[in-house]
Amino acid sequence: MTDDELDERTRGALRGYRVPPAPPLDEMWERIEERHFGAPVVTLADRARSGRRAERRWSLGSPSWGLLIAGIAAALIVGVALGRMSRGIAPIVADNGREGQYDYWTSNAEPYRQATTEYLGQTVALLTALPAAARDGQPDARFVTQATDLLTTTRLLLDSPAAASDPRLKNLLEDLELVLAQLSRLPSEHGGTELNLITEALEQRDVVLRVRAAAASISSDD
Amino acid sequence: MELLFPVRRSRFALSRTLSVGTVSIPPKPMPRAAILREESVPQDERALIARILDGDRVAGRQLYEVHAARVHRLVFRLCGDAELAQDFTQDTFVRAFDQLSRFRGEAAFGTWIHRIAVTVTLNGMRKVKRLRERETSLDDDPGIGTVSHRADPDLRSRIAAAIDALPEGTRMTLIMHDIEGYTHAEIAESLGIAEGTSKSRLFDARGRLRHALAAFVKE
Repeated sequence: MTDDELDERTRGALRGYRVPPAPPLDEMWERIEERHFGAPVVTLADRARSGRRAERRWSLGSPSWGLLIAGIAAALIVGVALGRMSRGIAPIVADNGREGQYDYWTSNAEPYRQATTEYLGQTVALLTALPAAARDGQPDARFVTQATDLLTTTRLLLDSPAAASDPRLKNLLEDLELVLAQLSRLPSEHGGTELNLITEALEQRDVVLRVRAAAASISSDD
Repeated sequence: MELLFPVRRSRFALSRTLSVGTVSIPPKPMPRAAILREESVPQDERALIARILDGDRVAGRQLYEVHAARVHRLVFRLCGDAELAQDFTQDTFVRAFDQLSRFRGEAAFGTWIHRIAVTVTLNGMRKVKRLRERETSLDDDPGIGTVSHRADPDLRSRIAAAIDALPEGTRMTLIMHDIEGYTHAEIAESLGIAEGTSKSRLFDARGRLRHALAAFVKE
């Protein structure tokens, strides 16, 4: 095969890479309209489809489910807080077989425990301040600096024995690494959009809640 | 050997007639339009944006009609999954409309929304990939939008496998430039990189493809 023949076939093959199907424009628009503008416009033509729409209104992502999920999240936070208050401060004991505990935190891991607890506290502070920063529309330079510092700590912790022996902590740190890497690369201009997307992703994945639960588990692990 | 050439396409025009009946539910109140001061946004598009900010869903549909197909194409090329492409396209427009008051018109609206689309798609793909990695074994996981990597003499399969094997940023640049016909300026704006970086990524991508296809040339 000559180079020219290969060029021609290559161009054809490139155009055939993941050929998109016809976009379902109407179907996508219905959902976009409902999510952004609220209830859809009611027309005579729409009435025939009203039953299907009523069902869709109760899908995940609708305002009603959003409120329900927010309520559950609030209840979880209160539950974690009440659980911690009722447990009090307990000594650190190794118990690797118990479900739901962060496993590494034996008495000989005190330096890692302190470092991780401090790191998680700082991370929660940064992440909880994000929505306000997003509302302002422009990321504060201090955010980027702090995120960069925390990203370094995250990577150190990921390489530590604590993360190596505790898969749940490792997963959490990997999630935080992704978030902090995005924050540390926010452009000085036009960063508001990215900040909003990051904030939404955090909310969708309950990252702050998970970090708080981890901090509570590690700092008062019994 | 010049191996790859961009596929240029014209911009999408308003091709559909909108049929909207009586509005029986008042639109959600929204903040007044931000100042769209740059010439990069056409006059009719600026007017549409201003109407959307006033809660005009018809204007929203019109702006959607202009950009939706191209956004969907790009998202599908990046993720390779029809359902995900649909979800990511919807998320892109919802987020763009939600944040429209912050759009200052310093870049074209099309560039701005493509930047959102790339971010939404990358975040979504990482999330889905992570979920799949946790829920299924590597042997069972087909990956996101990947093609079969079995030995196949067909050039198209080889190229698809070679593209899938490219690093993420390099792959996106190749798809946007050589397959979807974006300019380096548009790619740079969409990915938040310098134009020079876009060019060097494309050079790298083509080099890797040549290397991957070297055995095929000999056959």
